[in-house]
This record gives sequence, structure tokens and C-alpha cells, in this order.
Amino acid sequence: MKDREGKQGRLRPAVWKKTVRQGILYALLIGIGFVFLYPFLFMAINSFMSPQDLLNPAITWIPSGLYVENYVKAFATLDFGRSFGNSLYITLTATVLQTAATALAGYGLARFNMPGRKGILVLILATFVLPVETLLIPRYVMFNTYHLLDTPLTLWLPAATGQGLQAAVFILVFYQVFKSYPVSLDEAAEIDGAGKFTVFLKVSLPIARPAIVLSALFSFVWYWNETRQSGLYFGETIKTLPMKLGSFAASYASLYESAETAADAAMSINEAVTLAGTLLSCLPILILFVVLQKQFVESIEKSGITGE
Amino acid sequence: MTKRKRNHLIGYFFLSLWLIGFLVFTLYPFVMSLYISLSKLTLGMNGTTYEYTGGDFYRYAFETDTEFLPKLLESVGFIAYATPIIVVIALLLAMMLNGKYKGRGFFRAVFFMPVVIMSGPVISELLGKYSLDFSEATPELFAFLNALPTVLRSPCLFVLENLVTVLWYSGVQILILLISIQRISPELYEAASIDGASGWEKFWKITLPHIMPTALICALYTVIQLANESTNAVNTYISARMFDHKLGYYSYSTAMAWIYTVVIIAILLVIVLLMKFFSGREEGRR
Repeated sequence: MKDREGKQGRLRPAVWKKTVRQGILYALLIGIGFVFLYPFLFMAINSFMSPQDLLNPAITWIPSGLYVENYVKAFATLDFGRSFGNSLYITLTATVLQTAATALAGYGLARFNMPGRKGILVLILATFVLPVETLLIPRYVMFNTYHLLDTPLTLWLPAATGQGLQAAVFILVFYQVFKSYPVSLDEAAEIDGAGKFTVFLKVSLPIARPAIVLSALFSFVWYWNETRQSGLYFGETIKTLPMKLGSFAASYASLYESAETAADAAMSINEAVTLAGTLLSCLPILILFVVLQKQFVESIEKSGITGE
Repeated sequence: MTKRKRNHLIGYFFLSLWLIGFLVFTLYPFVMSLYISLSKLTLGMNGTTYEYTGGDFYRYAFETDTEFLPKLLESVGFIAYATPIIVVIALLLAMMLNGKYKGRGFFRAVFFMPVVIMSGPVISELLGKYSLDFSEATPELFAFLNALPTVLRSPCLFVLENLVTVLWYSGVQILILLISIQRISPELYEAASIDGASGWEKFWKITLPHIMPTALICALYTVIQLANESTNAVNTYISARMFDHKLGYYSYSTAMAWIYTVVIIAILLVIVLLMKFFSGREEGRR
């Protein structure tokens, strides 16, 4: 009896300390979370402001009403339907090609002890570390020579051969996964008469599911947001959603300002329309993230990417 | 053919696609870019002609072009400054996300969200114009910071001025560091507690040495990520000068890209040397 009281007496300050620490932790997390989301909240709120609200100094956070006109204009300026379609099929194809190519390369490196394997691994690491800056222009000249400019092949061909965006990361992830499961599984399938490629498809790939998820999700995100190469290689012919956002002010001017009189100042481009455009251009990928949020995090956790 | 040889051949078969890609889309452009930067390109009726100029374009970048060096310094300065700050902040946030409490998944998602929506244009729209500005909101804080010695003041000011940018670039790093922290065996901490170590001591003696390799990988990743950002000053400038026919079209841009690349590689090498230094010390201790 006496013993138990003593224990409680000692426990109480510890509980207190824990609560205080939790409180500080939450306060910090909420504060930092707010800074993280600030540009985003600002964008979401301001995109609903009417031109009058923007000019009104009394209104900083809450718009006087939901002014949807901004979105109508931004939708038209972005040419949303078409640029979304462009982004989607270019990105999806690149994602599938990149995942297939990096899985093949990772498998080849991990499961067959051929000579020169180490050297190739070093080369792959080098492609990760070397900045792509120097490659962009010669690739441009090359694509120009073979009349591939202005086509999505400029992104798809490198993706299909394991030279796409951050391909080295995915090859190394696949390499690790394929290296870490026992060869006996493959051998058992081979005794049953399966060829090497069948083994790869039927035995190895299912085991590498986390790596496939990682490669697919991140390739998708990176290709979706890519503007450096697509801006250079697609020129004016194909416009993806982020590219359209990049030239938002110019497109807006050609769409609306010619039809207006200069006196109608309220109609000219304002930050609310630009913000509505920015939000619209992030929206598809944001929805994807909200839906697959768990997979994003878990795919990194399971892939062993942390460098052991 | 022996079974082993056959096996090797199949291995090369799996790698063949990558090898072709490497030769065509990486090695060849790499060699080609050196050649382009050393000669003057002309786009004529009968194709492109190259006229060897030696290091002329490199000299032009340093001696004649008044815009290139400031832009190079701006970008490289930003990378050199932001990288350690991003890694340290990512580490702090990773430690805050380590542990079991309600809402952890939510905060983890919030911290990761920018990774998903970051494209060049989004960054220049949002971060360029609308990130939080503390300089007007809290003049007292700035007055206090200004009183500090420069060594302390300039990183603090940098963080405050670029707070959202720094945070937005740390999404992947936070997750990787978090996983690395979670892999440290809890027994180590228990043993340290029994020996009477404080939380502070445990951080310096257990957590930090264990995550050092991962932290340096994060640093490499950060440099590469920042260097390839299409909206940074040098990259914009290189793209803008690509069609300048007086400077041999791509020739001058390629020369600038090489200069930039060499500087970035130098930064990466410094990080790798640090990594070697720290892991060497680790082994010495064991």
C-alpha cells in the first residue's frame, strides 16, 4: 500500500512534464504547418476575391463573396481541358515507360553476376549526381536532327531507356529490392520450366511491388511538374498544364485584353485570376496526393531508400 | 555455352535497354556538349556546321558578358547557403515527427505536400510573390537580429526571408531522415538512459552519428534539386541565350552550362569529402 503511493507521487511530475512537452510540440507543429500552408491558403482565399475585394484595404483574409469569375477566366486562359489532357497522357506514358525501364535495369544488375556490373552501377550513380544542364542542349540538337522536336517522344525515349527524370534513384531502389530476396525463389520457378523473363514477370515483379509504387508515384509527380525539358523540346506545339501556367499572363492578355477598352481596368489581369490559375494547375496532382497520401509515404518507407 | 555464361548474357539482355539509352541520351550528348561549347555553331541551309573556337566562349562568359557571373553567383550562392539550412531544418522536423501522437500522419502529409505540387511556374507564382514576409510583421525581431554578429545574423535573416522556400524544398529530406531515425535501435536509447544520459546527450551521441550518412545523402539530393530548378537565375539565363546566333546559337549556352556544372560538381565533391571525413571518424571510434 505504502509502496504504491510512493510510486504515484513520483509519477505525477513525469506526467506533467510529458503534457507540457506535448503541448510545445503541438504548438510548434501547428506553427510550422501554418508557414508550410501559408502560400497555399493565401492562394485559395485570394483566388475567390473580386477586383473590388482586392482593392479594398479592409479585406485581407475573408472575401466578401465567392467570386467564381476568376476561375472561369483562369480555366479559359489555361485552356484547361486541352492542357490537362496533354499533361495526363504525356505524364502517364512517361511514368509507365520509366518504371518498366528502371525495373528491367535494376533486375539485370541485381540477379546476374556478370562482369562489368560494378562499373555500370558507378555509371548509374554518376548519372544521378551529374547535373542534366550540359545534356539538354546536345539532346535538343539531336532531336532536331531526327525531327523529334515538338513531339512527346523527346521525353518518352529517354524514359523508355532508363535515362528519364531521376531514373538513377529508381534503378537503385529496384536493385536493392531485387537483391534482397532469395535466389531460391527464382530457381524453384525455373525448375518448373519458366524462362528468365517469365520469372521476372511472375515472381520478381510482384515481390517488388513497393518499388513499383514508388517509381510510378514519383515519376508521375516529377514528370507532371517538369517544365525545363518540355519547355525546351515542345516549344509552342504542346502545352502542358504547368507550361500554360508559366505563360499565364501572356495567354490572358491575348484572350481578354484585346477585347476590352483600356478604361476597363478592373477587367485586366489581377492577382486573383493568376492565383485561380495556379490553384487549377496544382489541383489534379493535389487530388492525387490526398487520395494516395499513405502510399506516397509508405513507398518511401518500404523501399529502403535511406542509404544503408 | 556454359550455364554461367548464358546467365551473364541474360543479365546483359536485361540491361541492354539501359545501356543503349546511356550511350544515346547521356554519354553521346555529354561528349557532344563539350564539342559544341568549344566551337561556333552555324545553322545553314545544308545543316549545322561547327567551327572550332577553343575556349573563346568560356573566356567570353568570364570576361565580356557582364550578366553571367552575377547570375551564376546568385544561383550558386543560394545553393551553398540553402543546402545546409534545408538539411538542418529537415532534421529538426523529422525529429518532431518521430514518436507516437495524434495527428502525426496529418503533419507528415502537410510537410510532404509541397513536393507534389512543386513545378517551376508554381514556385515562381507562389513562393516568389506570396510567401510570408516577417520583415514588416515583426520589426522587433529584426532589430534584435541586426544586433547579432554577422556569423549568426546572416543565416538567421536568410531563413526568415526564405522561410517558406526552405521549408518547401525539404519534403523528401524530412521523410528520408525520419525513416533513418526510426531505424535506430531503441535499445541504444534505453541503454543510454540507464547510464543517465540526457535527451540532449542522446541526440549528439546516438541520433546524429547514426543519421549522418543519410543526412549527407540528403545534402547531395538538395544540391541537385536546387541546381536543376528551371526558374533559378543561371538556368533562366542559359535558356534565354540559346538562340543567340552571334554567339553560335547553342555554343555559348553550352559553355555556360559547363561552367555551372563544374561549380555544382565542386559543391557535391565538398559534400562527399565531408561524408568521407565523418564516416572515417565513425570507424575510428569503433
